Amino acid sequence: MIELIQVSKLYPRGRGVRDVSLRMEKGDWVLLVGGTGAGKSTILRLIYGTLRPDSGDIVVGRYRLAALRDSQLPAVRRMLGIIDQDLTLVEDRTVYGNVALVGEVLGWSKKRTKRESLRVLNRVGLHAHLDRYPTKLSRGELRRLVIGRALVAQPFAIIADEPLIHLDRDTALEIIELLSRIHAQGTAILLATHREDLFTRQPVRKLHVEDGIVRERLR
Amino acid sequence: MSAAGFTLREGWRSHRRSGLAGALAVLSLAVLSGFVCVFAGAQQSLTLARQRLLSGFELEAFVEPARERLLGVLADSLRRRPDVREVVVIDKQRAAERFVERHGEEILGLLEENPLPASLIVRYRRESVTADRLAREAEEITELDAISEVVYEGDVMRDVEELSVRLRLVALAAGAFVLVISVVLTLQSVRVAARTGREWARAVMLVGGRRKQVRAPLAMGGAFTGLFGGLIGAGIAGSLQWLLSGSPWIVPPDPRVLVAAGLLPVLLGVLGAAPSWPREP
Repeated sequence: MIELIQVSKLYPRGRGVRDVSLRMEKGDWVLLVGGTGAGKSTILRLIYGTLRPDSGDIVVGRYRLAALRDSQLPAVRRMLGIIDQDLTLVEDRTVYGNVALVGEVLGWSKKRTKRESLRVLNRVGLHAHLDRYPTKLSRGELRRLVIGRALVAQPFAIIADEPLIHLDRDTALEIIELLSRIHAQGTAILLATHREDLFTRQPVRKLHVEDGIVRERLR
Repeated sequence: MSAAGFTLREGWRSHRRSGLAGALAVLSLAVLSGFVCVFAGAQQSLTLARQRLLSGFELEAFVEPARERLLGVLADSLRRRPDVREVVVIDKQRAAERFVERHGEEILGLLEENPLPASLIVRYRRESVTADRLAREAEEITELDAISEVVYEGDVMRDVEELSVRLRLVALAAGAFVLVISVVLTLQSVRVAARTGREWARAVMLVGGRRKQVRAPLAMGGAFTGLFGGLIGAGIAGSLQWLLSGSPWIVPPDPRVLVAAGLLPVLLGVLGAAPSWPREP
C-alpha cells in the first residue's frame, strides 16, 4: 500500500506539489497525468524518498517516511521497483550486469543473483541480449531493461517516471503491453506520463496533476 | 557477493570508468607524488651537502712552548671528547715539515731554531659539526692546561651555514607553494574523474543501495587512482634519484619517503572522490 497524506513540497521558485493525498493498494494501476513541470515527478520522488516533503506524511508498505531517517530509506526503495525518467543505467555494465546490480547491492549469492536476473530478462524479452551494452540497445530495449531491473527484487509496486517518453507509438504500446503483463501478475503500478491516450485497454485510474495539485482523488 | 568484494569490484570499475579524466587524475597525482619525492630528496641532499662542507672544518689547538711533552696526554684527552672522530698530533718536527711543504725551505732555513709550535688537529664526526659547536669546543679546549690558542675557520663556517639555511628556506617556501597548488588541482582532477560514476551511484541508490554502498566504492575508486599515481610518481622519481645518487652530493632514495609519497596520493584520491558522493537522501 502506498499513501500520501496531505503532502506538500515546494521548490524555491514556487513550483512543487501542494496538499497531495492519494492512496493505492496492491494490484492498482494509477496514472499520474499532466504536462511538463506539473509535479508528477516530484510526487514519485517523494514516494521513493529522494525528496523529503515539507509537510504531510507518506506511507509505503509498513514504513511512514516522515519517521524514517535517511539511512532507512533504502529499505523503502527495496520494496519498490523504481524506473527513473533518465533511465539511470550503468553504461559499462552489460544488460545482464545492469540487472544483476540489484542482487549485488542486496547482498544475494551469485547463484541467486544469476537466477533472478535471468528470470526477469526472460520476462522482459531481453534474454538474447545479455552481453550487450546499453549504448547498443534501442530505446524500446532500454525501457525493457530498466523495467527488468525494477522487477528483480519482486517489488509490490513499480514506480515509473515517464517510461514512454521519446518512444514511437508502436514501441510505447509494446512497453504498455509489457507493463500490463506485470500488472496482471499482481504488481501495482504508479506511472507518470503525459501520454495517457495510449492506455485504452488497461484498467488504469487517472490522476490529473496540474500546478502541483492533484485534481482527482483515487478514492 | 560480500560487502568487501562489492566495494573492491565497484571501486575498480569506478576507476576504469573515469577514462580520460581518470588518466589525467593519475597523471596529476603522479606529478604530485614525484614532486614530494624530489623535494624530500633535495632536502636530504642539501643536508648531506652541508654536512660534507662543514666536515672539512677542523680545530687546531696549539701547545704552549716548552710543554710539547704533554702532546700525547692532550691528544688522549681530546680523543675522549664527544663526537671527536680523529686527533692528529703535529709535533715541532712535523710542524716544520708542513711549513716547508707550504712555504718552501728558504724562510725556515734563515732561522737557527724551529720556532713553530706543536699542535693538535681535532676532527669531528660529520653530523655533529656546526659553527656554534666548534666555537664552544674551541673555547673549552683553549681552557685546557698547556693549550695556548685554538684556531679554526669560524667565519667561513658561518657563511656556509647561513647559505644552507637560506637555501633550505627558499626550497621550503617554493615547495609549500607548489605543493598547495598541486594538491588543489589534483583534488579537482580526482573529483572530475569520480563524477563519471554519478550515474552508477544513482542506479545503486534507486535499487535500494545504502549510502555506504555508494561511498565506499567511489572512495575505493579514488584510492585506486591515487595508488597508480603514487606508484608512477614515486617510482619514476625514486629511480631517477637512485641513478643520480652515484654523485657524492645526492643521497639515495629514502624508502620511508617513497612509501609516504606513494601513499599520499591514495589519501588525496579518497578525499578528491568525496565531493562526488550523492547528497540526496
